[in-house]
Amino acid sequence: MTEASALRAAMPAASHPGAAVDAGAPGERAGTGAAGRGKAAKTRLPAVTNRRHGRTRRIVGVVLVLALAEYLTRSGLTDPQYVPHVSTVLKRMVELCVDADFLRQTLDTVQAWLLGLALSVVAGVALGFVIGSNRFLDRSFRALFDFIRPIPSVALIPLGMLVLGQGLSLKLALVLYAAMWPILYNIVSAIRAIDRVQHDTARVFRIGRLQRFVHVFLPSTLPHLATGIRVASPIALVLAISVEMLGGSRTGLGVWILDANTGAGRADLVFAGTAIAGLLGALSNWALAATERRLLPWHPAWRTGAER
Amino acid sequence: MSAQESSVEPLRALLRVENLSHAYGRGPQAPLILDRIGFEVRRRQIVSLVGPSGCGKTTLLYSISGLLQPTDGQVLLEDTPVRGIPPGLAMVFQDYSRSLYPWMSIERNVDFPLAAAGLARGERRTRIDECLEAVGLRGHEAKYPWQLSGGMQQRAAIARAIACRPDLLLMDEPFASVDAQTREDLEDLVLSVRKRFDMTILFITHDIDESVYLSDRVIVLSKSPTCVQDQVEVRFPHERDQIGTRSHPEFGVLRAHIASLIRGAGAAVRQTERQAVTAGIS
Amino acid sequence: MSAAMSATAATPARAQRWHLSRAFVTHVWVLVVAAIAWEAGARSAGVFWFPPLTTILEHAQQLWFSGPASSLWVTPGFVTDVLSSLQRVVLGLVLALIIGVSAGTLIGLLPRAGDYLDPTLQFMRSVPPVALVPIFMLLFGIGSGMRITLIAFTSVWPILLNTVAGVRAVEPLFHATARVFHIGLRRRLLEIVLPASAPLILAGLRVSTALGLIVMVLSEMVAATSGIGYRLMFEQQSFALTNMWACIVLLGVIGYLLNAIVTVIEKRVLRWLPGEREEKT
Repeated sequence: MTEASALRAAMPAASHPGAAVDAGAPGERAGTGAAGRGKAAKTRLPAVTNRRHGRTRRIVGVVLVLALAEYLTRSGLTDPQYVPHVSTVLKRMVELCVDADFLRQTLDTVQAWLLGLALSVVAGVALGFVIGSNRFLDRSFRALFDFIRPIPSVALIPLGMLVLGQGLSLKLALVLYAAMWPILYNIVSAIRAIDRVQHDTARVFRIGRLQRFVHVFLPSTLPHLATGIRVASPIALVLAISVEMLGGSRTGLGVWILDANTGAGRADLVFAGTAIAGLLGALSNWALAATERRLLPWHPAWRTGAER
Repeated sequence: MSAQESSVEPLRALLRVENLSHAYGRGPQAPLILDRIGFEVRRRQIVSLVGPSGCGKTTLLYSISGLLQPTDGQVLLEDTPVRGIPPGLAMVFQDYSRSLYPWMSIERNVDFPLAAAGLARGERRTRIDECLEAVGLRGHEAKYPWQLSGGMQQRAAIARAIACRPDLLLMDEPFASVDAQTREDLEDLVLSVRKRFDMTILFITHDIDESVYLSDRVIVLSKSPTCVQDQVEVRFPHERDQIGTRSHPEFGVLRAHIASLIRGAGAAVRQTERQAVTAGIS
Repeated sequence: MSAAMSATAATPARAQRWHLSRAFVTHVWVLVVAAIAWEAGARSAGVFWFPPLTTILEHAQQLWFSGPASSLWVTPGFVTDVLSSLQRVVLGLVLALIIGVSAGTLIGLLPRAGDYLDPTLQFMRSVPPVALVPIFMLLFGIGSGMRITLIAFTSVWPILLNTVAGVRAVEPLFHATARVFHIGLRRRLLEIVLPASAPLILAGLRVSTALGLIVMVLSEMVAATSGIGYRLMFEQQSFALTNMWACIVLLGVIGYLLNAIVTVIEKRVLRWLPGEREEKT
C-alpha cells in the first residue's frame, strides 16, 4: 500500500534500505536514490533533495573529522615526530601528487593492480561458469574452497618470492589468487539466482538460445559480476601493495612507503603515502559503484548478491 | 431474528476524534490528506472506517494511535488528549509478517509487551494462554511466525494485542492480506473477541461487506482530502452469522448505500450536508 | 516470509541418514581427489617448490605435533607459533566485534550521523593493512599488544559498516509496533534492533574473520618473535620450503576452523530465519 509505506517512511524511526555492505560496498548507499524513488511514490519531498542533503553532510562530515584529527594531533597527546599534524600530512599528499618519483612508483602499483584485476576477472568468470552451471560441482568444490580461500594471500608471499622472485609476475600471481574469489563466488551465485520465471517466459515466447543468452542470461549475471569486481578491486590493490611492502618487489607505492619509513624516517611521508593508498582504494570503490548505478539502474537496490 | 441486543451503549464516548486534519509537508500549499474529520466511538462498539483506496485511512488510524501527530485537531481517549502513544491502546497492523518479530516464537511475541510492561510472570502466563486459546492458536506457542500460515500469523498479532487488555483496539486492514475463507474466520474471531473481552474496536477496511458484517457503525470516508461522508448505523444484533446476517435484506441495503457513497463521482459531500441515513430493523 | 505449512512432518530416519551421508560424500570427494592429485602431481613433477602433501604433513608434525604426551603431543614450537597467533587473532576479533557492534548500532540509530561519517568510514576500511604496520609500530611498539590492536583496528570496519547498514534497515514497522506496545529503549535495542540486524552483522563478522587472519599473519612477518607469520619468515630464510608449506596448510586449517565457528554461531543465532532451511550459498 503506497500510502502506508509512505507513512512509514515519514515516521521518526524510518530508515533507508542499507546497501549490502561487505568487503567492498560503495561509499554511497546505493539504495538511497532508487529506494527513495520507489517507496514514496505519492508524497514526500522528492529523493533528489535527500541526496543533495546527503552530499553536503558527507562533505561537512569529512571536514569535521579532519578538524578533530588536527586538534588531536596538535594537542600533545601524540609526538608530532611519530604522528604528524593532519595539516602536514595533507600538505605532503598534495606535494606527492606532483612528485615525479612518487608518481612513477604509484604507476607501477596501479599497473599491477589493474592487470591483476583483469586476470582475476577472466579466471573468476571462467571458473565460476564451470562450477556454477553444475549443482553437484558447486557443492563439491565448496568444501575445497573453504580450505583454500581462508589462506591469507600474504602468507604466500614468502613462498612466492622463492619461486617467482621479485617483480611483476609475483604481484600478478598473488593478486590473481586473492581477487579471484569474490568474482568466482558472485558468478556462481548469479547463475544460481537466475530467475526461472524470466527464463521460462523467454522460452514460452520462443526466444532463441543466443537471444536468451544475450537478453536474459547476461543482464541477470552482470550485476553480480559488477559487485564481484567492485569487491575484488580493493583486494587487488591491497595485495599489490602488500607484496611490495614485504619485499616482493623493488618498485611500487609500497616500496616507496617502506623507504620513507626506514630510510628517512619521515612519518609524515609514511602517513601521506598510506593515505593516498587508502584514497585510491576508496575512490575505485566509489567509481565502480557509480558506474554500476549508471549502467545497471534497473538492478534492485537490495543487492543481496553481494559476496560474503 | 435473534434476540435484539441494543447496540447503543452508555453515552460517554471512549474515543473522540475532533476536527482532525493532516497535511503533508509544510506551508499553506501543503496537500491536505485529512480534512476536519470528527467522530466518536463508544464502549464495546465495533466501528469501521471505509473509503476509496488512497484516502487517508491509514494516516487517520496512525493519528488516532499517536504514531503520527496530526497537523490540526485532536484525538481524545477517555477525555484525555492523545499525545504520543496512550496507554490502553493496542494495534494490529495489516502486514503481520513485518509486525510480528520473526526471531521470537509466537509465545514470546505475545509475551513481549507484557514483559516490557513489567507484569509478573504468573500473570503473563495466564494472559498468554488465555489469548492464544481465544484466537485458536493453542498448541502453536513455540512456533516461529514463518512456520504459520498468514491467517494464523494475524491471529497471533491479534492475540498479542488483546493480551494487553487494551480499552481500544485499532486494526489497520487486518484481513487484507489473507484469503477469503480465512478472512471469514478472522471476522468471526473479532466478534468473539469483542464479546469475550468487552473490547472496543476501531478498524479500517476496504471491504464493504466486511464493514457491514462486523460493525455497529460504518464511517464512510471520502477521497483525498478525506472527510467523513457519512456515518451509517448498522442495527444488527451483536450476535452475527456469516450466512444469516449477510443474506438479510438489510445487509444489501446498507452495502449498496455505502458502495454508492464510495464510488460517488465528483467531490466528497460532507455528512453535515446530507441526511444521515439510518436503517432500522424491527 | 512465505506462509508455510505449520507442522513439519518428521522425515523418516532412514531418509535422513541417506541425505547426511550423501552430503558428506559430496563435500568430501573433491578433497580426497585433490589430495591424491597433489600427491601424485608433486611426486611426479619433482619440483622443489611443490612438495608432496605427505611430506608437508610430516614436516608439520615434526614442527608442532611431535612433543611428549604430557603436553598433549605438542612441541614448544606449537606454543610459540600457533598458540600465540591464535591468541592474537581471537582477542583482536573479539575486540573488533564489541567495538564494531556498539559503535555501529549507535551510528545506525542516528540517521544523520551515518551521512556525516560515511566517507571517513569508507576511507578507513580502504587503507591497506600492510601500510598500517609501520605506523602502528611507531605508535605502539613491537609487542603483542600492537598486533592485537592492529588486528582489531582493521577487522572492525566490516563489522561496523554492516552493523550500521543492518540497524538502518530494520523494518520501520518493527519500530512502529514497538512504539504502540510501549516497549522501552533498552528492550528495543536488545530484543528488536540487534536480532533484526543479526544477519548482516554476522556476514560482517565472517569478512572480519578472514581479514583478521590476514592481518595476524602480516603483523607477524615484520619485526616479530613469535607466531605463524614469524615462522614463515624464519623458514624462508633457510629456504625450508616444505616447512613454509606446512605453515600455509596450517593457516588454511585455522581459517577453515574460524569460518566453521562463525557458521556455528550463525546457525545458532539465526535459527529463526526461514531461509536457513535451504542450503545457503
